[in-house]
Amino acid sequence: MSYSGPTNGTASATFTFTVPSNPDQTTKNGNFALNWSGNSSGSVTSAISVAAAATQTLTANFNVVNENGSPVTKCDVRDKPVLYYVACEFDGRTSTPSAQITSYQYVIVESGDVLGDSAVVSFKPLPKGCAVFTGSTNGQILTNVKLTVTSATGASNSAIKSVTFVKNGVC
Amino acid sequence: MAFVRTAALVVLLCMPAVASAQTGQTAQIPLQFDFLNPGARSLALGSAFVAVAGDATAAFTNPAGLMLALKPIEVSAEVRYRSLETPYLSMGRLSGTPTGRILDTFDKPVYGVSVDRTTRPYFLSLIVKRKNWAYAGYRHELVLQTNTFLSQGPFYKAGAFNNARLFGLTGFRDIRLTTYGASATYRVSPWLSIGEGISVYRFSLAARFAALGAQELGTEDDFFRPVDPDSAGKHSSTTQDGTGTQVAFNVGALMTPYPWLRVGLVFRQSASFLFTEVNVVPNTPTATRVGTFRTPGVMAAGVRVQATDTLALMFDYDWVQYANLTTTFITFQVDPSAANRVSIASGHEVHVGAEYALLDFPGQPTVRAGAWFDPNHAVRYVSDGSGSEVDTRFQAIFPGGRDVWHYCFGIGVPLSRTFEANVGGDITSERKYWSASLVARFGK
Repeated sequence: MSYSGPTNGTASATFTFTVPSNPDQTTKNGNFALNWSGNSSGSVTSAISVAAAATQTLTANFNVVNENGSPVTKCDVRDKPVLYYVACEFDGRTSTPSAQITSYQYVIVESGDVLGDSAVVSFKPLPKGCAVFTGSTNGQILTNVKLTVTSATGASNSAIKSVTFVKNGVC
Repeated sequence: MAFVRTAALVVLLCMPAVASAQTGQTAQIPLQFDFLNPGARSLALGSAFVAVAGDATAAFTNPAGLMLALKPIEVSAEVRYRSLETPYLSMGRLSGTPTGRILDTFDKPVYGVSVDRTTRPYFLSLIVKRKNWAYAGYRHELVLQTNTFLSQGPFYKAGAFNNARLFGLTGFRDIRLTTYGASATYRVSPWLSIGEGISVYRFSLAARFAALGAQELGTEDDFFRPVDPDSAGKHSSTTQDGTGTQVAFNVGALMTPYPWLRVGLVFRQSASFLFTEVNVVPNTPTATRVGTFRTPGVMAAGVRVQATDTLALMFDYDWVQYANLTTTFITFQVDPSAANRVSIASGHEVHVGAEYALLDFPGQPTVRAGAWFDPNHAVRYVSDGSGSEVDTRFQAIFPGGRDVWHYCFGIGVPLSRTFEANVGGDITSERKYWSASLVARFGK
């Protein structure tokens, strides 16, 4: 709070009171009360209303690359260096605005299996081993991998990409 | 004595194109071939030849018939054309809903056909007959089949995933089974001859299969694209190799209780051969296994009735022991979880034939016709009713076959007192055989 104006007399002066921005999605209300005393005393009260924060727009986006860093639509599932190793990296760092994103989650849409919950999920084993393929023992499965990003305010956004998991001698 | 008969054989020479963890997965490709009697005459008579066996081909078919050779020395040579169609699961959809994208436009499995056509020297034999004994030696190209395969990899539904797809497959297989045999026959009495033979089977198998991925253009449609032949070796590959020599025996008898009636009996022992299968999957230890290929044993009985001076009728019954393949060659190669649900029924074949001499024609040719019932003996998977992915897949891969009738015909023409020519055919919708043989008889 700051004051500008004469330090005596009866001329008017200005009190400036700054309130922090409202991070919430609802308006915040309050009162500003000024009390004085001396030769005379008195008070004045002013209502303050801080509008809700503007709605945040998140944009989810991710890339899938292989061990050489090349963009791919297929990911091998291997048994080395660990069992059910997915030879792909899922990189969601291109999601925006990165400063407001507080969580990432990659999910296989069809089965609901979570691949990982960080911005970059690199070359990890499948969360449920071959069971993620629900008994499929051979060949390739076309999946929809969904990245969901969420902000502290609860805003979220998702992006989906088709990814083929190739089971090469593992399951 | 001895031997037998035709046997149309459908064997599963399947290719688990991946390591043991993936046994039975990728591409089971049936191997289908026929064990047919040698000789254009036999072929034309619907292979109803156990009680006929009256020429040099008896050395293989029923050695007891060697005594029926018309002259002390008889030589027979045969050339045979064959066209065999081998169906295999090629593309389509095994379960789930077609997406309509690129190859995923079929709502059922689609089968391709591998055709093997060739003309080969098929049989060569020599008979020497002395008093109550007759001897024969022969070479018989029992099986020679070369096939190539290209499967696009069918689509299927796997659990929650509508769009799963088997790997595509490229494959080559060459299998050969040649028999070198010697037979001897003794005439016990005017109405009974017995014969025994020893056969040396030479076996070779060379097969190369590789799983194929779809073409990759970097788009989300890649999953549905045709296979990329250049992806061979990136996923999995399988080889099967085997060579071997095996001795087997056959015995036979020929009885002539009446001048118009002849009865024949034969038994042919099966032969077994080992082959080595190597499965290679990138980043996975190579898996090597040894399997067994076994020819079916055969028992057969036949009668020949001389109905008139010019007409003879023949009837054969053959029991072909296909089932022993199940316990060796097949169950070894399919997914262990399905092994007890895959089977082949032993065959009960019925053969009939007729031979009519055209005495009024120059040279007195003989016309022949026949047919035989070839019961379904394809490898068949019996569903467990679960509708699971494995169950669905094996139903598509091993749908079983069907009963088939072979229709046969031919003619024999004496070219001189020494030479006789025969031609014959054996026709079904999927298999066709044409044969020409020349028989030379010497001595008095």
